[in-house]
Amino acid sequence: MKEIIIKLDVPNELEDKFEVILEKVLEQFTRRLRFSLIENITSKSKLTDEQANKLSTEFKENFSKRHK
Amino acid sequence: MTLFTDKLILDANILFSFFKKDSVRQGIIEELLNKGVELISPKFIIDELLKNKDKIIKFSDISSENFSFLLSSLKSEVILIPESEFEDFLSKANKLSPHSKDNPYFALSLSLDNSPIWSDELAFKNQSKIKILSTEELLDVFSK
Repeated sequence: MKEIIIKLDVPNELEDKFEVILEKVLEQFTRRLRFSLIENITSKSKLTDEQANKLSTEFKENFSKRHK
Repeated sequence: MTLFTDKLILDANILFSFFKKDSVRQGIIEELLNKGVELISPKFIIDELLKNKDKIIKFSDISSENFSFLLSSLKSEVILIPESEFEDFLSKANKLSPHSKDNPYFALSLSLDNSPIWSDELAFKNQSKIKILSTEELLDVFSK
């Protein structure tokens, strides 16, 4: 398995903030990966706008019926 | 237009961007999350997506494994609110929403200090209490 090591010299005065910054960067990085996968999967999806509209209307009506 | 909210309620139709070819809405969702906006939806939608799993798989022609990945992605990125947290607002919502089926979205908004709703249903705008943002309007926010 390939290992990737990223080395970065963090200035002393930013050491305290580094963890917070790293957390945010990793969160966005993970999200980018997730959305790249979503885009890859859905690029082949055959679900149409019409079908999606019909299904979302059905979902809402089911909730509505339970509350009558 | 500037982005003025830290919470945005997603109409059911918008959530379907997780299952269909819709890179524009997917891009907006990602952008909003990166800006720290909380995306919120009623939890019953997840139950309905699960109940209709076979139908969605059939229509979209995606594998069961990919469906599970898309659903878990939705659950990771969207805050799902149980009905118990907005049911007290359903009758008030009935006076605002264009159809009774849309009451949960307006009730959820009312329960969260009138948080705006992302919807492309034009009829949602037939009231002035709750701000309704269309995909086009959100796109406009990010293109500036």
